Amino acid sequence: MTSGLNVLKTIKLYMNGEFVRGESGKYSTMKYYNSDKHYAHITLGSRKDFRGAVESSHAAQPGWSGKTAYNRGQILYRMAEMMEGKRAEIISVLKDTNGLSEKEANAEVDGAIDSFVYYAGFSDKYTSLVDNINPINGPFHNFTSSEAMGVTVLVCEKKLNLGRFAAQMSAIICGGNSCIALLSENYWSVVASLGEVFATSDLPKGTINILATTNNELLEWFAGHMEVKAVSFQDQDEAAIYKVKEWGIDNMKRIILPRKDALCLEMISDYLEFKTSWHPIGF
Amino acid sequence: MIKKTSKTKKPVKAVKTVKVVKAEKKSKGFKIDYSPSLEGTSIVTIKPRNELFIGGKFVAPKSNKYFDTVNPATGEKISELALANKDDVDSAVKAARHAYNGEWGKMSGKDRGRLLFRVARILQERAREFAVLETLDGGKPIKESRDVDVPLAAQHFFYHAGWADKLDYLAPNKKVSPVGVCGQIIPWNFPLLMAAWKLAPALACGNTVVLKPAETTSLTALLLADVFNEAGFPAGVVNIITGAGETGAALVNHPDVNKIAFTGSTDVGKLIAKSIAHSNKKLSLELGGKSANIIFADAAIDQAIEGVVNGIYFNQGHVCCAGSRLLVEESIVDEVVKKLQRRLDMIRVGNPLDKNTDLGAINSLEQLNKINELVDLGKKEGGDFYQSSSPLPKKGYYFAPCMFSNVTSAHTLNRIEIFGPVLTIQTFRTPDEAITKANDSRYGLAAGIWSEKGSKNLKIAGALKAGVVWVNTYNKFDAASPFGGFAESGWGREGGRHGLFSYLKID
Repeated sequence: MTSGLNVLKTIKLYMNGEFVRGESGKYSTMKYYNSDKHYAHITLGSRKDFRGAVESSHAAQPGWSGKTAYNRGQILYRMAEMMEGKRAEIISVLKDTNGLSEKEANAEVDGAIDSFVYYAGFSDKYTSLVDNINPINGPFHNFTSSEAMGVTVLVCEKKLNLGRFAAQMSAIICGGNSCIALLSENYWSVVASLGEVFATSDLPKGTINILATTNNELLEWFAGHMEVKAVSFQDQDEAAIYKVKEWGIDNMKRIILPRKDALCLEMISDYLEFKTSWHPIGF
Repeated sequence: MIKKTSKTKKPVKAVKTVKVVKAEKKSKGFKIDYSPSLEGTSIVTIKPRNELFIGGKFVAPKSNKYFDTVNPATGEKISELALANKDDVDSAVKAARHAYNGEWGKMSGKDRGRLLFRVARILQERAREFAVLETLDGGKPIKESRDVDVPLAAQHFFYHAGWADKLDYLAPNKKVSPVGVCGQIIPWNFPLLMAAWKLAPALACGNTVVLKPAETTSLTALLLADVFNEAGFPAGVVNIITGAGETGAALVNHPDVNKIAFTGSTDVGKLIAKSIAHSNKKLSLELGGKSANIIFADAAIDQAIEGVVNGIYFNQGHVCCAGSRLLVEESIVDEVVKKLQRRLDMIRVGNPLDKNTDLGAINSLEQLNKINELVDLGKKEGGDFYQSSSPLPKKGYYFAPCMFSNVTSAHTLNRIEIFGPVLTIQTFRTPDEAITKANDSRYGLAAGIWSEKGSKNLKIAGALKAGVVWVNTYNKFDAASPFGGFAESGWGREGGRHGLFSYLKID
């Protein structure tokens, strides 16, 4: 005998590999699109949650960047597989909460899957394209190799665009960085589904953390955090960009602004540091 | 090319006497007599007064003001430099914009390359003149200006000349274009070389430039202006303005500048970043460092000692990537310190024009005072202080090389950049401890590793948070080798393929 009543999903933050409620107890009530009908309470991340996410992200980063490029590629590919498995669920959520048509919602999922696959295939190739052996004027083996910057905060654009979100996320972690994604209102209904994709893709816990936040609420805190090495600021709000640039100066954060093309090599190299090593050649 | 006529400079008396901190522990000395071997200065003519280089011409400043520039080896004034004010900066930016929108902007990469090749060749032809002027103006030993600064500057132009018509290879499937008008501000430690590091890639990429050399060392940059004219560059492609902080600030804040490139201290770099945060100007920064030089017990010790000496005492320690923090494996620390002390006493401090001189003059009185203050502070904080017994010239700005062994990570001299010939020495027991201590810095510019074990070197080099890692060598530079730091040591790279991205838009 079934009860006829659905089990509703509680939408939580995805932190350190777990689904948790925000510590502050702050939430936002979400309705069905163009309706007064209750959809869900969205738990919102606080400053303290953010600091916790940085700790988890910092702890995860060496392990993640230490994996082989092939392994990172397989995990990125598994993200595409998990996303495919959640296609119906995400389409339904986006129709209910964001008012997307079936076709539009499908396109969102397609965009995300395309991005995951694109960068899955890049993880063991980008170094061939961006690293270098430098022809030095002397008896030295001199090479420039890329490495991850470290903890990176991804601030999504306000408009829902799962393809661009997945591309940014994939480009960041493809290079061995760990990532804290701050998702604004249009993404809130899919926070749980995205978290489930990452939670089931064999990513080491803490490699990706996802917080739902109100617009710009955490701006000063993530831009000023000394353990955050880079900020991917995809929001087009110019005033906010200027503030983030200013607050990030204390530890000389790398502030990365949107690129037109979400699928390209430069997206990965935006999040890489380059180290040049000199070794003498001789007996 | 017309050779400059020589002019004998009258010896002048020191304006200020300089107090040098006395060593707490001086060595017994290591005495070798060297006959002086002075480089002649007749090849250089220093104009008594230098104007601004704007729109291809030397022009008097609108400010009507000039300031003195001194030879730090004697403390005497050698010339006057024009002080560029806001209006002068505006004229320079306008000239650069005019060139960018005009002849230069329309020129092919091939022709830009041709002009840059000419600059490289002219620099090689006039190398001795540049080396002597660099030493007179900045106090660095002639053997360094002659063998390092000038040849590397020429190489930078030669290397980047070849890129000018090959930029499309940098980003396949993308449109590559110049950024526009670049404002470049350079430091006093490698005046000509830094000008080359800044100008060569910017011009190869098709930008135009307003360059501001440091106020204490502007003469070789101004002589370089002459080279650009000889090479036949269109007017306004390169503009050189002289002045101090206010001039730099006017350049940074000029609304028609598209990009700022700065090399200097982290504090000033942060000020620049802040002042243009509310704009869309592109910014690259090559800032300070507190680089670790690590010696393992399995190193070739004598080679390592030479590397440490070159790492910290090269160019009076006025090197952003100087190996100022020595980390020594505990089991060999006594041997290393003893050998270093012996080697320290063999460093010849003296007249920079003498070809025997290893350590020349400190670049300015201000810098000498800073080094003295920091060393005094270091002595108060503890550690074993040792200073070379090398006699110092009676006038001019000199500082005998020194080191502090037995210091902790928290010691101030281990935390902040001194920019002088001052080494600190700590020990470690395990490779992990060496990595932790090396990375325990807000900077991330460079590092050195000394060990004969290849696999260990690769492991440690990978773990160090630094943009340049020298293994069994130190302080090597090359136009093809990207240079720049992690963390608070800056944004972007200079040199090599990677350095070009600082001067390009990729769409």
